[in-house]
Amino acid sequence: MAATDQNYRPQRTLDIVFALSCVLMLVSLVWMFGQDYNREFKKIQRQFRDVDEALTQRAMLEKLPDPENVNTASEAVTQARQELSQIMESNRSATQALLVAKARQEAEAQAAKADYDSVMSLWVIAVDEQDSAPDDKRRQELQAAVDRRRKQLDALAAKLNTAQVNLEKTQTELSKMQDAEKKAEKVLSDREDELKKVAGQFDRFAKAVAQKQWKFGDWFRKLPVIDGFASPVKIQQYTLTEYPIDYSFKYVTRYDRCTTCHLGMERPNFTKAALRNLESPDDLPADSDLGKQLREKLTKEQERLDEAHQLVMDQARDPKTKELLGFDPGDLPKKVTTVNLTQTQINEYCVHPRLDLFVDPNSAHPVEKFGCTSCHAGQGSATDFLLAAHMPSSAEQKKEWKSKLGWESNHFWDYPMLAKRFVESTCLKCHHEVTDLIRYGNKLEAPKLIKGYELVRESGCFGCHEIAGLKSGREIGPDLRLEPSPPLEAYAPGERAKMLADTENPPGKMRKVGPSLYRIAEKTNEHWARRWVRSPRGFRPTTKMPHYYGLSNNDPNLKGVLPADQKDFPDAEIYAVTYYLFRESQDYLEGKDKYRGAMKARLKELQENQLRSEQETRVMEELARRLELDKDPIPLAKEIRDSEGQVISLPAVPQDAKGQEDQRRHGRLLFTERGCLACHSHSGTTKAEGQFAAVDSDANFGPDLSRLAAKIAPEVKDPDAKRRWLIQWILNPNIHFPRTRMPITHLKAEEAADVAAWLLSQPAEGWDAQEDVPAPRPEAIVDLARVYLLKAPGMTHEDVREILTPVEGNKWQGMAPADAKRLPLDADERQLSGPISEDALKWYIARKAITRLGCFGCHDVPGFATSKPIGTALNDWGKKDPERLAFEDIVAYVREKYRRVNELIDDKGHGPVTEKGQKPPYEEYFFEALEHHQREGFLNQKLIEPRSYDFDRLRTWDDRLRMPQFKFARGHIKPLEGETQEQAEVREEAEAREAVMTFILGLVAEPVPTKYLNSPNIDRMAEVKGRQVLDKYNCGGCHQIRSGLYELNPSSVLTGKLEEAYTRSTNGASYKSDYRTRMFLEHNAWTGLPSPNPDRLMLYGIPAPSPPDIEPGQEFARLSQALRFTDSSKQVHDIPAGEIVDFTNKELIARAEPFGGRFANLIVHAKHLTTRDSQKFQTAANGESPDSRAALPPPLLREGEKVQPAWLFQFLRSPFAIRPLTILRMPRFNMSDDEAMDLVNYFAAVDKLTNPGIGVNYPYISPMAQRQEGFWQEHSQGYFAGLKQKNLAQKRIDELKPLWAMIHSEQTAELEAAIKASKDAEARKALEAKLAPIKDLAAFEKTQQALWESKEAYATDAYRLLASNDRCLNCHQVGQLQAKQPTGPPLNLTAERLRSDWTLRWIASPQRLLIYPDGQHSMPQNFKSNDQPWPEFQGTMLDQVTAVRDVLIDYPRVSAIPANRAYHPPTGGNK
Amino acid sequence: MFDSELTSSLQTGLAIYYLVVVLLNLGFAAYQLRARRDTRLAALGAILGLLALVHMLAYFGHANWQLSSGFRAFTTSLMGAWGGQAGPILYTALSVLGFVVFLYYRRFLTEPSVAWLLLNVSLVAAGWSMTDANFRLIVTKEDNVPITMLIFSVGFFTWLAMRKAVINDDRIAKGEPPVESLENDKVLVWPDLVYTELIAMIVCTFLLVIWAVVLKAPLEQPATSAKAPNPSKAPWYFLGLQEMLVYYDPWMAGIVLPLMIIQGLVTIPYIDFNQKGNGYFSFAERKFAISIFMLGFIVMWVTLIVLGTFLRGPNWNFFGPYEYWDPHKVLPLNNVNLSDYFWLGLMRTTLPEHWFWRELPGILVVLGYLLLLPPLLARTIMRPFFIHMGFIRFFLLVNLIQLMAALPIKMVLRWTINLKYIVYIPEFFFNI
Repeated sequence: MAATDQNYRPQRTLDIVFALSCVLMLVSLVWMFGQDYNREFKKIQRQFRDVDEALTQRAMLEKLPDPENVNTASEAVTQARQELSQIMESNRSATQALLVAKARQEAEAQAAKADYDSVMSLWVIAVDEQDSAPDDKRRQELQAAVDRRRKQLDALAAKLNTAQVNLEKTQTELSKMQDAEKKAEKVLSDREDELKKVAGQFDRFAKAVAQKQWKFGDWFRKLPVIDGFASPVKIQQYTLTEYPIDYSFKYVTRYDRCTTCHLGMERPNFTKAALRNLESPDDLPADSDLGKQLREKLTKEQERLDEAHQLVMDQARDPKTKELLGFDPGDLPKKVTTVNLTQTQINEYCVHPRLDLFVDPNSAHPVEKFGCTSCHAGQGSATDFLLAAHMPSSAEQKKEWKSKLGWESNHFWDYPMLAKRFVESTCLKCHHEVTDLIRYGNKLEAPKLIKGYELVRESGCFGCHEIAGLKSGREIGPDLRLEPSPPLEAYAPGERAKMLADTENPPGKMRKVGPSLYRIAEKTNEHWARRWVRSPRGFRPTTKMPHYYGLSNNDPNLKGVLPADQKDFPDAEIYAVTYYLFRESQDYLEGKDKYRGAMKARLKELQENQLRSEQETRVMEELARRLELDKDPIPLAKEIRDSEGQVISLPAVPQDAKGQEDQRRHGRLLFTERGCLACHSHSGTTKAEGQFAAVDSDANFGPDLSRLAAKIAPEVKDPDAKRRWLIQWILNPNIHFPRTRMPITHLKAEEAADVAAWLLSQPAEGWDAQEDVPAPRPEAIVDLARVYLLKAPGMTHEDVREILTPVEGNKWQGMAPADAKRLPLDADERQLSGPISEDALKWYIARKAITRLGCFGCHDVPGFATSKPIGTALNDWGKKDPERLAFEDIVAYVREKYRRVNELIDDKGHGPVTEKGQKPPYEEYFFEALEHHQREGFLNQKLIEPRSYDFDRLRTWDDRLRMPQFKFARGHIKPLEGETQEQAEVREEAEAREAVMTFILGLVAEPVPTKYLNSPNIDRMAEVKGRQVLDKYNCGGCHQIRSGLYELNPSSVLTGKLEEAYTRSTNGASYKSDYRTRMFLEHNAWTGLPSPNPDRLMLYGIPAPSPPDIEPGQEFARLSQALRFTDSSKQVHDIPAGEIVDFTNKELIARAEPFGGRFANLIVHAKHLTTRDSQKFQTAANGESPDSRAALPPPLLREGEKVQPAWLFQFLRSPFAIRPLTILRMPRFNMSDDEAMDLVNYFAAVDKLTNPGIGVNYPYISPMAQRQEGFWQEHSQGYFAGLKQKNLAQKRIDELKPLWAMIHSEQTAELEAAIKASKDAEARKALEAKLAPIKDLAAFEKTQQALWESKEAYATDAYRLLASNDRCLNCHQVGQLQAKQPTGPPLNLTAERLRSDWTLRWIASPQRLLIYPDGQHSMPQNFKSNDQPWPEFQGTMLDQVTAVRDVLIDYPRVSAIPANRAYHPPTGGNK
Repeated sequence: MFDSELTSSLQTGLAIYYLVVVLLNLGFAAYQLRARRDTRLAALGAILGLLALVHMLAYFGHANWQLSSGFRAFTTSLMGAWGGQAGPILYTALSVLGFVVFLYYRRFLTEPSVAWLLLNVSLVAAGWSMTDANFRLIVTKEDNVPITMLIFSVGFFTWLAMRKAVINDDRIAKGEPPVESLENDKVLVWPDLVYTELIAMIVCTFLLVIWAVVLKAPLEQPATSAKAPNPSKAPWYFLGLQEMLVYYDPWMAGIVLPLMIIQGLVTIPYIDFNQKGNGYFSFAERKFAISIFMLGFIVMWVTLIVLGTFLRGPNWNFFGPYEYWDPHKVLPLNNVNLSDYFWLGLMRTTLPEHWFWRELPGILVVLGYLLLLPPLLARTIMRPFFIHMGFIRFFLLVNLIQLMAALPIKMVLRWTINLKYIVYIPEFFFNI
C-alpha cells in the first residue's frame, strides 16, 4: 500500500507512553540519587558529626572553670579596661591641646627647616661662585653676596632651633601623659592573660563546639545531589604508593579508605568510655537503675551546660571580652547533646587502642606510612562494611553482625581482614626475628604471636614442616629451619664461612627438639619404649612428644575407623619401630651399624677407584668427613667420662643402708639447689621432708623427671647399668646426645652419683610397669609388610606373595638373594633376602613407618641421617588458598564428636565447664570457619585432631594422615580462682593453640618492601638476637636478665606517691652517702631517662615484698633504674635505683614482668636454703632472704656495663667458679662461638641502649688508662706533691723504710747466694756489678725513695687502701692476701673481668647497681661520700674510690711493685 | 546438601512472584474479555490466575511448599546415570525433540491459549524449582539473570514469528495476501520513527538504571594465574562455543567452527535461492531455510548457552538442575580414539608407529564425510537443490550443513561409543 499522512500509531497513545516513560525515568533517577545519598559511609559521617559535637561538648563541660574565678577574672578585665578609658578620658582635653600644639610646632619646624635648607643651598652656590672667580677683585665683589646669605642662614638656624626645642618640649609632655595610659594598658593585658588562663581551655572547646554544630551551609551542602559537589561528607583515604597490593599480574597502589568510617581512629579523646558516655536515657524505662543513673548524670551535665552558657553570656556582655571568645556565644548549644550508639558504632568511631604503637604520626607505625590494610588486611579501597571484608572474632560477634549489619562473608576478597583474635599475625610480615617484638626488656608487644613462635620452636614443627625465612634471596619471615647434619660447628672454618655466605640458602639454625636415638639401647628398653611410642603423655603428661597412636584415624577401639584387617596394624607398627630402634642402636654401639659399614665400604671403593668423576670425588670427601665426625662410639659399659672428657670410674654404691639413705638425701639436696629445677620439675621435691622444704618447680624447659626411674632401664644384666647411664648423663650429657641443650653442670662424679641415686629411688607413681602393648599376631606383621611391599618400586603382586610365603621355622620365604643383590644399595627390600624372620619383617616395616611418620624430624634416628622433612612447607600457609585444603567430611566429624559452645574462654577468663558424659567443647567460631572452609577452621581442627580429616574416608593404612597430635599447653597449669583444673587445662590448651595459629597464619611469604621491614640498628639487633639465644638455653631459668616494666599514668595520686618515695629516698642514708651530684650524672641508676611516651611514666623495677597492711590493688616495686618524674610544683626529680616505689593498679596502664630469675625466686620463696641452714641463710622480716639470693645465680642486670666482652665470651665458653657464696656453678652450655658472642653482644647492647649516657662499647672496649705507660708515674707525682703539702710524705717514707730494708736484705742475700753459686767468672762479674750499687742500704733506700716519689707513691698508697682487712679483704681475696671471710669474688680477677667505669661506680655506690627485692645485699658501701676519708691514702673519698679502682684495673702491675709485694696489711682496725 | 525449611523471606518472595503471575493472568483475562471478547481465553486466564493465587496464598501463609526431595533426587540420579552422560544426552535429545514437535505442531502450539498455558506452566515450574536451594543459587546469580531473560525473550519472539507465519500461511493457502502486505510500506519519520525511538531510549535507560541499582555488578577477586575459578565459564554468549569444547579440540571448537558460523551467515544471501517470504512471516514457503536456521540458532546455540549456564558445574561436569555443585564430584572419562577401535578392536594388532598409518582410518572417514557425502546427496534426496543451485552453491550449502552437523554427530558418537577423537595426531596437536 502507498504512503499516507496517517500516523502509524495514534499520537495520543504515544504521548501518554512518552509521559509515562519520562515519569519512570525520573523515578529511577531519584532512586539512584537516593541510593547515593544513603551510601553507608555518608550516613556514618553524618552521624559522626553529631558524635563529634557531643563529645567536644562533654569535653568542654569537663573543662568548665569555676564561674566565680572566671567572673572575677573577667570583671578584673572590665575594670582594667574602665580604668584605662578613665585615664584616657581625663587626659583627653590636655592631650588634645598638646596634640594641637604639637601639630603646629611640627609645621613651624618643618617650615623653618625648608627655609634653612633653601638658604643653605644658595649660600653654597654663592661660595662656589666666589671660589671659582678668576681674580681677587671679582672675589671681593662676590664677598658681599656671600655674607648676606650667611647672615640669613644664621638667622634661620636660630629659628629652626627654637622650633625644634618647642616641639621636643611638647612631645615630652605628651609622653608623660601617655605613660599612665600605657601602664593601664599593661594591667589590662595582664588581666586578659589571667582570664585566658582561667577560661582559655574552656573557651577553646566552647569555640570548637560552636563550630561543630550543623549550620545552614552544612545542611544545604549535604542535601542529596548537592552533596556531589562541596560535600561535608567525603571519602578519606591514605595512599601508599610504596607498599602496593599484589594483584597477581600487577602491583597496584594501596588505597586505604578505612578512616572514611573509622573517623575517630587518630583522635585520642574518642575512647570507648567517652563514647558510651554520650548515651541518652530516653530509651530506658524511667524506673530502671540505669535509666535513673543516666538521667541524674544528664541533669548534672545540663546544669553545667547552663552554667557554661551563663558564663559565656557574661563574658559576651562586654563586646571587648566577647572578642576574646572568638565565637558567637549564641552558637553554643542550649541542651546537652546525646547520641545513642550501639556497641558496633562505638567500635567504629573509637580511637585506635594503641596510639603509642600505631596510627599516630609519632608512633612506630604512622598511618601515613602503613595505612590500615598492611596490618589488618581486608579490602582497603572499599567504603562499605561488607566489601571491606570485616571478619568477626567470635561466633557471638558474627551473629550480631549478621542480624544488625547484614554481614556475610565476602568470598571475593582473598585476604579478608584478620579477625581481632589473630590480628598479631601480620606483625610477622615485617618483624621476622619475632623477638624484636619484645621491647623495654620484657614487654611483649604481640604476646600471642610471640607465644606461638615459642611454641613452634619448642614443639619442633620445623622438623617436618619447612619454615624458611627466605624466598629467592628475599626475606619473607622468620627462619626456622633445621640445622645441617652434621651441625655447622663440625665443619672446617672455611667451609662454614662458605655455607654462611650463601645468601640464597644459608644453613638453618634449629636443633632437632627430641633426643638422639642412636644410643637409646643404653638408656632404656623396648618394653618401655613401646609404651612410650604408643602414648608419650601416658608416661609423662607434660612431654613435648606428640601422640602418633590412638588417634582418630588409627585407634582400633574406635568404631568404623580401622577395617578388621588393619586393627592390629598400630600395635604391629609400634613393635616394629621399637625393635628397629633398639636393634640399630645396639649395632651402633657395637660399631657395626649398617650405615657406617656401608659408608666405609663406599669410601674404600671410591678411594681405590683411580678414575673418579668429579662428583664421586665430592662424595668421597663428604664420606670421609662424615666418618671422621662420627667416630666409633664407645659404649658406656666400657668407659664413662666426666665433664672434661676424662675417663673416670663409676662411683661405688655405699654398702650400708644408712649410707645409701644419706646418699639419696644428699642427692635430693643437690637436685634441688644445684639448678636442676631451673629447667626440670620433679614431684619428689614438692613434698617437705625434714630439713627439706617443699620446692615446687613449674619449669618445663626440660622434661618432668618424676617418673624417671621407670624409664632408665636398659635391658642389660649389669646392675649398674641404670646408674651408669644416669651418672654419665648428669656429668656429661654430650656423650649420649651431642646436640643436647642440657649443659654440663660441673657436678663431681660422686655428686652425680648422689643425684642419680635419689632420682632412681623415686617411685614412678601411677605407672604400672607391667602393662605392655599387646604383641601383634605374626599375620598382622605380614599383612603390614605387604602394604609396604606392594608399593615398593618394581614389586609385583606375585613377588610379594612369594616373599611372604611361610616356610619352615616361623620364617618366610623372602626374596631370592640374587634378586635382592640387584636392588639399589639403599633399598630397604635388600634386607628381605630370604629366608626371613619376623625380626627382618619388623625391621622392614619400621623403615617404612619411620619414613612415613618422619620421626627423624625431631630425633636423630640411626639410618635416617639424610632424610628430608615430610610435612607441607609452612612458609606461606597463612595465605594458602583454602580450596587447596582437604576439608573432607570434617564438619560432620566435629558435629558428631563435639559439643559446640559459643566461647571456650568466658569473660572471667575461665575455661568451659564440661559435665560428666558430655561431649568435649568446641568453639562455635571455629566450627563455622570449618563450615565456610576458612583457613582458621582448618588449622584449628588440624591442631586439635590432626588426623580427623580422614573421617569417613576409605584409606589404606599408609595413605592415612600422619601428623601427630600435639599438646601445646604443657607444664603445671594453675587454675584461676573459681576454676577447676579441667577447665584450666582446656583454656590453656585453647590459648596455646590459638597462639600457634597466630604464628602460622602470619607466615604469608609476602616480600615486604625493604622500607617496611623492621631492620633495627646494630645494638637493637644484638638485643633481638641475643634474646633468642637466652631463650634457647633458658638462661632466664636461673638469672634475672631484665627488670620488669610498669607503665603508669602520671595522675595526681601517683605524683603524690612518687613525691613520698622521693622524700623517703632523700632521707635515707644511702642517698646521703651517694656521689650523685659529682659522678653519675648520665647514669640511669641515678638519673632517670625521659619517657618515650609523654603520657605515661615508665618504671623499671622488680616486684618488691610489700609491707603487711596495704590497700587493695597496691603494689610495690624496687627500682632498677632511676625514675624521673615531675612533682606537683613542676619540679623534675629523680628517684635513684634501689629505692622502693608504690602505686596502685588504677594508675597501671601496662606491665611487663621481669625476664628471668625463676630459679632464684623459686628457692627463696620456697625457703629451701633458710630451712636447710637457718644460721647461714636468714630470712628477712618481709620473707625475702638476701643471704639466699647471694647463694643463688646472680642477677645479670647491667651485666653489659659491668664485664669486659672478651672475658664474658671466654667465661661462657668455659665457665669457672667466681663467687664463693654461690652454692651452684654456672654450667657449661653446648653452645657455639657465635651464640656465645650473641650473648656477649646482647648484654653490652642492652646497656648501651638503655643507658646511653655512659658510653658502653663492644665488642672491643677502649684501652684502659690505668694500663698506659706513665699512668702511675703521672699520678704519683701529683699525689706526692699533695702528700708533701700535707706534710705526710716523711711519715709515709718512714713507714716504707722497714719494707725497703727487708727488700734490700732479700735482694742482696739473693745476689750473694748467686755469686757464691756461680762458677763462671764472667757471670760472677756481672752479678757483682749488679750488687755493687745496692750493697749499701742507705744508697738503696735513697734510690727506692726517689723511685717511690716519682713513680710509686700513688700505687702504694692506693694498694694499702685496697689491702685492708677492714674493707676489701674482709670478704674478697686479693691475690696472695686472703680474705677474712671469703664471700665475694677474688679481686685479682677484676683486671680482666670488669670494666673500669663500672668498677668505679660499684665501689662508690653498690646499692644502686645490685638490686634485690629486699633492697639489702652484702656488698657494703665502704667509701661513703659523706664519711671521713680513710687515712691510708691522702685525698677525698672520691679520690680514694678512684684509686682503688685504678689498682684493681691494673692489679698485676701494681701488686708486683716490691713495696706492695712485701706489704702485709695490719690486722684489726686502723680507724 | 541444603535441605531445610524455606526461610520466611524466601516464602514471601515466592508469594510476590506468584502475585505477579496472578496479575499477569488477570490482565490477560481482562484483555481477552474487554478487547477481544474471547470468553474462552478469559476463562483460561482466570483459571490459571486462580492456580497462581493458590500458590500465592500458600506462600504468604508460609505453607513451606517445596519440591519433594524424592523428585529432586530422581532428577539428579537420572541426569547422573551412565557415568553422568545421561544428562547431556537427555537434554540434547529433548531439545531436538521439542524443536521437531514445535515445527510439526506449530499450528496448535501457536494458539494463544496453548502458548499462554505453556507460559504459565513454565512460570509455575520455575516457581517450584525456586524452592530448591541449589537451583536458586544458580538462577539468582547476577551473571545468570540475562540468561533467564534470554529464555523467555527468545521463546516469546520465536512464538510470535511462528504465530504470524502460521496465520500468513493460512491466508496464502486461501489465496489471500499476507497480513504484512495490507499495511503501509512507508510511515512518517516523526512521530512514527523518531518519537518511538525516543521512548525506547528512555525506557531502556530506565531499565538499565533500575537493573544497575537492584543487581550490583558481580565483581570477583583479582585474577591470578595460580588459581582458576571452578567452573571457569566463558561470557554467557560464548557458552555454546564452550560446550563444543567438550567434544572438540580448541582449534576446532574455538576457531574452525565459529569461523564457519560467521562464514555461513555471510553466505546465506548467496545460497538462498528462495524468493518467497520477503517482508512477511511465513513458514510453509521457507520450510528448509527456517528449519536449518532455527536448528542452528535455537537448538545448537541458545539451548547450549542454557546448558552451559545452568547445568554445567565445577570441572565442567553436568549437574542436574537440583543437584549441589560439588567440586569433588568425579565422572569417569573412558573415551577411546577411532584408531584404537580400528587397530586394536577390529584388526587385533598394535597401533602403527607412524601417525599417518595410524590415523588413516580416521582421515578417510573425515575425507569421506566431507567429499563423498555431497555428491551422494546431490544425486539422491537433495537432487532438486542441486539442480536449482548449481555445483558451487550446492557444495557450499552442503558443506556448511555438514560442518554444523559435525557437532551433533560427534555428540552422538561420544555418547554411544565413547569416541574421543576421529583423528588423533598429538604430534601436530591436530585432533578432530
